[in-house]
Amino acid sequence: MQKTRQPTPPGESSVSAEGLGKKFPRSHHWAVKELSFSCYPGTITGLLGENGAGKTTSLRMLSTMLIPTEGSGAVCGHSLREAPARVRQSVGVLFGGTSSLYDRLSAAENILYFARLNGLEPQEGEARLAELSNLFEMGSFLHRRAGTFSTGMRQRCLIARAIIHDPAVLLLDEPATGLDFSTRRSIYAFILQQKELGKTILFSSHDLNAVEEICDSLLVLHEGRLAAQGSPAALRKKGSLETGIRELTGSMQ
Amino acid sequence: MIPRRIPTSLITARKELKDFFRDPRSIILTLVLPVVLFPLLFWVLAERSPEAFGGQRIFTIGLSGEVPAFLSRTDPGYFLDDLDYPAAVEDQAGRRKLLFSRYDALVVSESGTVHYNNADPESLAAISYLHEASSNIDGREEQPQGEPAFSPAPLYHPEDAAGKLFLSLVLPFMVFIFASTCPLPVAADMSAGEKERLSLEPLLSTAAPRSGIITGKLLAAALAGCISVGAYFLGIFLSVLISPGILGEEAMKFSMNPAQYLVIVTLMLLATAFFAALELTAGFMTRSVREAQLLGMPLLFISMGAVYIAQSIDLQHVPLLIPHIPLINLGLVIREAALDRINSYHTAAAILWSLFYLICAAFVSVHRFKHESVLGGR
Repeated sequence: MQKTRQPTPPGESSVSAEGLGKKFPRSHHWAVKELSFSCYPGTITGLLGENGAGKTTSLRMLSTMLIPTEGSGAVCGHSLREAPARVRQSVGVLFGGTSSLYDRLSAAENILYFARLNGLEPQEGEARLAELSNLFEMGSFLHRRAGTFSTGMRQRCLIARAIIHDPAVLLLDEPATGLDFSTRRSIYAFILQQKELGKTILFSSHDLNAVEEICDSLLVLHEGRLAAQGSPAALRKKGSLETGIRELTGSMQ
Repeated sequence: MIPRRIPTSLITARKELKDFFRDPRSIILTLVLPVVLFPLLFWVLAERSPEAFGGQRIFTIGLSGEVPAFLSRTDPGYFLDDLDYPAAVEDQAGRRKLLFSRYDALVVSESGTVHYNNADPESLAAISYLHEASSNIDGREEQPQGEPAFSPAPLYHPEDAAGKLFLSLVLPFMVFIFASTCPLPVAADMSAGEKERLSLEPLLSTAAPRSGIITGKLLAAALAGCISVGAYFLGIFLSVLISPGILGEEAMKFSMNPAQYLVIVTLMLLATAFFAALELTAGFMTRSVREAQLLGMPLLFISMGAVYIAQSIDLQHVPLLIPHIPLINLGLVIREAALDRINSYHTAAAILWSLFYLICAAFVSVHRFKHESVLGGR
């Protein structure tokens, strides 16, 4: 693996939010309100919550696609508001089953296009592509047009595209949604591998078993607000994480 | 970040063009349809025309219907000294000017040289009227059968006139139709298509500056639009080569000098780029390609309106404001160029204003693309 770009000094948080909030124009309610947390290198943080709880909006703010209405945040020491371009250089974003490839381009062309947009020179991009192709076993379909891919092939290609520039932080929005069991397992294995490499991973999911298994800490969102924060063990109630989260979010209503 | 903008634009433009032209539907719409189907359609029409069966001749312009309307709005007895046909001005002896269709047909002397613009429908209507009513001009007795009452002096070489007239009528419409519709599919695909495919978010999450990405898209939309416009004109050229009689053989006889070509091509490219920028911006305001195409279609009607206005302007009395009105100035200058009456001031004004509008449209597009609302709802 290539060296991680924009490393965060040891002990310092690589993703932080302080009172982060987002209210969309012409909307009467806050999509996210007073969100504060920190994530550290070499850790996996799970973002949990029901549909509409504010998970995607939070990830969009952290990837600078949305401008926070209030509060502040930083990725690898770069402010979301003041240095959005530097933040984007430090993050790899994956929008799970919802984001798409350019169907008329091959897997290699899709990935190399993003390599160039992320500032990699052509040779660097080719080298990194070869590395990721081996990692995700993409050799057999690397030069096929993306329109012919199965869901699993598509997902591997999307992940490779998201991390082609070797970012220090991964923001993954429901990366395993709609995938079969074995592809899901391989994605979780990849996330654990990235953790070992010292990356900071923040991902949202509805798969509580997987979250419990691989996450070091959890953020539970409810109606845009942070309902709870802690390790999976700390949030577990009556032996079940689901019961614990239900109790927490239920008590807020 | 500034030094990286140009590469980002070029990287994006290259990818967009590759992506667009790999779609068989795009190839059919932008290249096959104009280059193959147009000539085929013209050939079929020529084969089925009455002329092909040795019957009637096809006329490009019917004058008979225009004469009554012409007479109702002109004053045959109106005299005027302000002339701009040098040949007419030089003829000082016994000069009398009977104006038809403003300056376009005039009697220089009683014995009668009549100067007229043989590439202008109103002027042709005037000369037709003179032929019919020459006995009444200035109380002259009816001429004996076969003796003309005057000597007609056309402005253009007779072999060239019908072609110039045809070109000046049709070319502005063709330029505007192609310039407004050709970039639309590619602009809609690059903007609303990105949203529809859900590929916009990953694109915006890259480190590339948004201005670079949108500039690349603009470049690609303008280039693809120009390629498509070129293909349509090539298709028409091939159609005329294959079936020269379909538009009337006289209409196809014209010569153009390099300056005329240069002005027409420059304005056509500017108009295409301008429409591409507008259509790209419109595409980012919609959520689907279909919506984007619907939103882009009014541009065609607006441009058609502009051409109608440009066609109604008397080229010898162009109001001062016209060269500064968007689209109308382009229609006017293309018409002037087609008639080989290029006016440097009008041309320079139209080019400079078009560049200005293009920059404004690009600026709006960049602004729209940088705004977070470009993502739309999820």
